[in-house]
Amino acid sequence: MPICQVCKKREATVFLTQIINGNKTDLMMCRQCAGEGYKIDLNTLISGLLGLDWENEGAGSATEISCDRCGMTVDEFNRTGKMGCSHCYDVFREPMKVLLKRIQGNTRHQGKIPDRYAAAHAAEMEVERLQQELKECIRVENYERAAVIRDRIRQLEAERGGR
Amino acid sequence: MKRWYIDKGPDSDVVVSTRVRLARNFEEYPFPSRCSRQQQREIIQKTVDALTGEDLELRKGFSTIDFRKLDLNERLVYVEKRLVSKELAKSDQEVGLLLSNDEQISIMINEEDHLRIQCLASGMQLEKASEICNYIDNLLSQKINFAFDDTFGYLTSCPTNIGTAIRASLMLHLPALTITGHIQALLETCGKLGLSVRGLYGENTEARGSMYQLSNQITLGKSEQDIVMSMRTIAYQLTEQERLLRKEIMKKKGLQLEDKIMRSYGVLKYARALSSDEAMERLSDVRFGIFANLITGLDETDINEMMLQIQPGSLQQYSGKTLGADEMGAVRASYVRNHIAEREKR
Repeated sequence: MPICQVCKKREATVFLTQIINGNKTDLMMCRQCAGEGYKIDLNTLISGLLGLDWENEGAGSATEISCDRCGMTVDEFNRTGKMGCSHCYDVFREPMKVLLKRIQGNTRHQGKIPDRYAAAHAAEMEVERLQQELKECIRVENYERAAVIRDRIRQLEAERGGR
Repeated sequence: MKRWYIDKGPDSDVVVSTRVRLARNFEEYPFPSRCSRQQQREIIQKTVDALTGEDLELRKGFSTIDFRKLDLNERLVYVEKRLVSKELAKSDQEVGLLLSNDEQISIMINEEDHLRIQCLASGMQLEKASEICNYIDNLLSQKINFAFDDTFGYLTSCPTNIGTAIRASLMLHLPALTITGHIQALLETCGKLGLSVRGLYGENTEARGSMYQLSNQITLGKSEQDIVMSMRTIAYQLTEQERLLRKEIMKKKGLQLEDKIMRSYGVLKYARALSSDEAMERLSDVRFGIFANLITGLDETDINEMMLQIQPGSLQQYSGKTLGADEMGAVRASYVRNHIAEREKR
């Protein structure tokens, strides 16, 4: 008997499929929870998802890990669908990526960056661009230019490391 | 700018209002549900200081509302005006509200996230509303370090809001698409395009008064501009379809429709008791009638205002007392009657 992913008590008889950016998510719910219709917010629906993949990947007892800043555990997230603090995202980074891929169809932010991050972010983008250029230089055997680029990448990375 | 419900925005025959909301959290505090009351109070104070600290003009433009001191009905009125969420109104925590005097910008403090910066405007004004939110965010960022991650973007209590943490919504009036039953297929299409649509006032999926709320579901992996742009494109298509269909059904079923609209107008003008459901349906008919040039004594701002004022919290505030179910219907009818009579004198 499949169990409702929302209340985790009753038998699931309703199956909800959601497609976001071509990624399909299936959710099983009981009639009562489904009857709540749009009153169910995504918070409840995603709870229960965080631990699953992590455990499947054999990372061990994921449920025992907790955030060293606010004390949140996987169990708690699964109950509430909410993170405890910003540091939780560091602690649960890998399973969070799996979850975000499912619910958002993406794992990487695009868009606004706070000013205090902007310089670091620009440097990171520059490194990515230079690495592409480096590959291209090596491919066309322009080693002189490749050396210049390599030094520039090293310099940028040293600056970032020292921040 | 005027309050959204008494202003006539662009495309207001179909788009009733625009709302854009950003979620932000202080880096140095846990998310609100894990904050102590003392921490929650500090967050309120720091936000008020950051927004209204030095700039005298800004300080004059905003009121700090101590939400903790309001009773339930007073809180409900803010919900009905769409200035705060139900969650904030229900919260027993240290919650706060910063509200611009024109009720255009509201900042909810200690709801699910530390801050929810919201801008409301009438009609279709997605770009303007997001610009305003962005401006307020920049202003606050000068004083507050918001939680941000290189990969995940702005960090929020719930992963459904992470990234840009922007939620843009449009309130749409779609009577022709509803009457003809075309709405269902369109709503499903919107769902596939990453937008959620729900009935605004009704229970579950049913939309009362043919009012729908269209919002973006995805907040991560697309820029704010892209999110707003794709929503605008879809809303534009919905608007065009609704307009075409209105003309078409007016041509095909003119008399039948005109009769329905004018009957609703009559009920609103003369009824002695109105349930909230009936009032919403009748007001929706009349709104349609206004844009079909059948009704000239009222305009869309009257409908906006009435749809807002007939909600329980606002009615109790209007009558100055707690109302039972029967009384509520009578007061609602009397409010609507008076409002229309007042307007028709103009």
